[in-house]
Amino acid sequence: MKKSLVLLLVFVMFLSIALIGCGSNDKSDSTDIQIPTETSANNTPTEPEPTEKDPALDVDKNPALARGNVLTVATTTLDGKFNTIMSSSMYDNWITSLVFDGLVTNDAKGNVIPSSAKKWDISEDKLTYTFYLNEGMTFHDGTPVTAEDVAFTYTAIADPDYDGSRGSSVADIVGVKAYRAGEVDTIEGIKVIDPLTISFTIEKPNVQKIRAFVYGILPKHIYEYDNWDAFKATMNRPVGSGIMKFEEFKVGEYVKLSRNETYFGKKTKLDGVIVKIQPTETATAAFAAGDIDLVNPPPSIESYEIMTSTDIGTVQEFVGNGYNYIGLNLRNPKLSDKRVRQALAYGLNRKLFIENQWEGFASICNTPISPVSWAYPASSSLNDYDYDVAKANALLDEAGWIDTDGDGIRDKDGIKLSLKWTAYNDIDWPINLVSLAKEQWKAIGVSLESELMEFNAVKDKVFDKQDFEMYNMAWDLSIDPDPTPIFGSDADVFGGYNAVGFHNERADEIFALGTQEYDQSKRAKLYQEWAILANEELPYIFNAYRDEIWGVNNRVKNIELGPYYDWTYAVKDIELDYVQ
Amino acid sequence: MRNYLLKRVLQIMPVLFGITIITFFIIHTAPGDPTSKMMDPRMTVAEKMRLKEKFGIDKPIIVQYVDWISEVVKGNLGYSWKFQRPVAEVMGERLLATFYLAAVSLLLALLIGIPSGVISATRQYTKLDYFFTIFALVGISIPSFFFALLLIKYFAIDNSIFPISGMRTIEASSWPIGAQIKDIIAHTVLPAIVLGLGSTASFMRYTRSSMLEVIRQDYIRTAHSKGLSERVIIYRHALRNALIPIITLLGFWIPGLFSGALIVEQVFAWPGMGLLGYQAIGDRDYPLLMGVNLFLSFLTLTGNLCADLFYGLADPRIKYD
Repeated sequence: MKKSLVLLLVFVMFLSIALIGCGSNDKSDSTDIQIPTETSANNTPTEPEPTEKDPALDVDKNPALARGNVLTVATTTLDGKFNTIMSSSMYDNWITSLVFDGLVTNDAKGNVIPSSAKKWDISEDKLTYTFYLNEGMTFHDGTPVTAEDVAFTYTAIADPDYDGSRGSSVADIVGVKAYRAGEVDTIEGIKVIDPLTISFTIEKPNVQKIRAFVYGILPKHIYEYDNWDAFKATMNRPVGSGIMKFEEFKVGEYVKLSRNETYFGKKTKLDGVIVKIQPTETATAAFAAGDIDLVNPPPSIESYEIMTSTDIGTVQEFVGNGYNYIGLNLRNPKLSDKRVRQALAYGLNRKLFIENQWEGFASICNTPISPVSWAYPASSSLNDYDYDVAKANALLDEAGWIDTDGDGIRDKDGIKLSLKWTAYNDIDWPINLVSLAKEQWKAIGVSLESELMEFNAVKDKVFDKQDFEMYNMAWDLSIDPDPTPIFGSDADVFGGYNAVGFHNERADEIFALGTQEYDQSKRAKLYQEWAILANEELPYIFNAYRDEIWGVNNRVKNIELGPYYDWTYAVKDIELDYVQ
Repeated sequence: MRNYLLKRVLQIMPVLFGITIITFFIIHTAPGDPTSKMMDPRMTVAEKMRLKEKFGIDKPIIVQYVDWISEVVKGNLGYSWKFQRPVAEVMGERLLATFYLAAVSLLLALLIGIPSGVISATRQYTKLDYFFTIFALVGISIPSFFFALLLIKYFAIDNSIFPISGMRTIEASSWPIGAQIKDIIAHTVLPAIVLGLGSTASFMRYTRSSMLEVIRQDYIRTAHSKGLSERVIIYRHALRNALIPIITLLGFWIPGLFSGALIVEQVFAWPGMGLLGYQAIGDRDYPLLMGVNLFLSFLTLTGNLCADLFYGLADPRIKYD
């Protein structure tokens, strides 16, 4: 009885201490919360009170606030090719998409929307595209934007000396072939109708053609050239009609842009934008220190933790429009049977790999369309090839691959089921995946060898020579989901992208129908059928959809990033907190 | 002397020529080409072939080499495929930043490395000697990217004494000139220390061992018996002789500072040319790669020539006819 009393007392004491502890915590919490509400209440009168206590404007806490009304974005490189028809890196594209405006652009969902062209007509036969430009648009030097400038831009891409990567986008315009051959001086299919109207005529209907008109309009009077080298010499000082004006480029350091006060569309509230080189090694730390407002590090727990360590920023995360995969050479007798391919998929624990490799910043992929696309089918219609050794073994038995000599490796007609994987060692995931596959495929009687080489060498072996058994790589997809260039029979040529040699009649039919179908919901149905077909046929062992993560400083408001909507699209809406 | 110089300079030409032949052919045997990086599914095979023709990579290697070398002889290093601008321009605009960083770190290395090497040697087996020896050992062994990140963590992130990276503050262009210079110096400190550490340690080790050998020579004993002061013996007689191997080292070190700045420039986002050659390999940008190679070979050869000439200054026994 006595003992229990003591126990009770001790218990009461603990409880009271705990309660006191809670009480004091509650108190400090509530005072913390009260401070800002008090000051904001004080601020409502017209009398301007110092806002030093507002945590959103506390420079000591968030040093980024001292950088003024200028958005600073981290990049890893700047090539200085700030030209809409020449740029070849995503980072240079950031600059061009702010400095220049194309005829059309896209919204956050990837739909084509007007930009410099207020509207456009597509003729009955789907061959002629007529664009009507907005009235009153000017370039940064005050010169009006006219249809002549548009014609100049697309004629420059068709120049016989053109050596950028957009050449294919004008190849189907009537008269480009003759122009490239030097037979004519103008392109028949590009017609300036009046200063604000221009039409393009193409040879063959193509539903995605409209997306070829996104390239920013170059002012003819500035970019007109005597020879192609002279044109390229102007790349590092761009002049366009976009939302931002180019100010300065320091090689290896940064690009500075300022607000275009005469922009015809919605003007930005930012005074300027700085895109600054910040090496990957220190980018997240620099973000946490408030040196930069936006950063796009490789997705990992580590990046995430560093970026949120100082509480001055948040992380935006979304699934990217792309996937990585293991390509299988379907010409190879060992891999031409789809049951073998399916067995390899069942026999590899991709889920485990993805969890360990990307720590939650990737999800499993089973078809060559990203879930962010409108063409993605219902997930339930896809086989997820969950890790299942028994199923893998059954499929291989069924396909006639049986271990006849008892060495642990299956064989058929005297050929052993041993495969060679050509992987690149520039980054670590392929190497990790290969070692997992070696171990797990051994369990289903498949032996795996690997050869590691540098990315360019793998690319050469796979695409240019088609001399491989399996390889790994990733695709960054365009907004339009047309799979023809990757899986069409026509793309199975040396240098083409159908390196695995995938030939499927129904698939080719779908692809052909898909590019001629102008109703998006009907088109989606076609591609959903393709997604299910690819999921069954497995021209690749699909691996993962990777996420993208962006660190966003708390001072940056009105920004919602997505796979089709990078920060340059958001510039028109972004507002920044800052202190003078 | 003048004949010797002329002879040596003339020798550089055929050597450089030989280097270009070897490197050009080795580089071009690597699989892949500049269109490899254009992995855009929207680019058709026909378009790719058209570009290959534009770049001239559809021709036999011999023809490509002759095309290239005949332009180089005229002083034209060609056109970078990646930057799509003249190679000389691309290298030129980054050269100064690299040269500045290399000069500062070399100066640092000489000013710290040689005196501490001398002190180490003259006070062999003292605590000071052990301290310098351990310092040199650490300096040589520590990987520069690790050391760089360590410095950034302590001096830039945890305590913001120096900036994290870059060569200047972007807003600095509107500051008074004095503040701008201060800003650049603040940005130089960490990369110069990282780049200079390895050289400092090496200079220290070489000076120490070379000095140890020299101070046991007869003529030093003679100087001692003549009653000369220790200072004069060490710095006038001994050091001058001990410097000869250091000069050789220096001749090799200068090109190394340019190519070795790769890691430092990467980690500190220094706008130099260290990364150019490295990235040019990945991009298969042959003209740029050849330009960088040519520049580094030229530096190596002239570095050696300078070292040979400096021997004469340091050691009166060496004479050139």
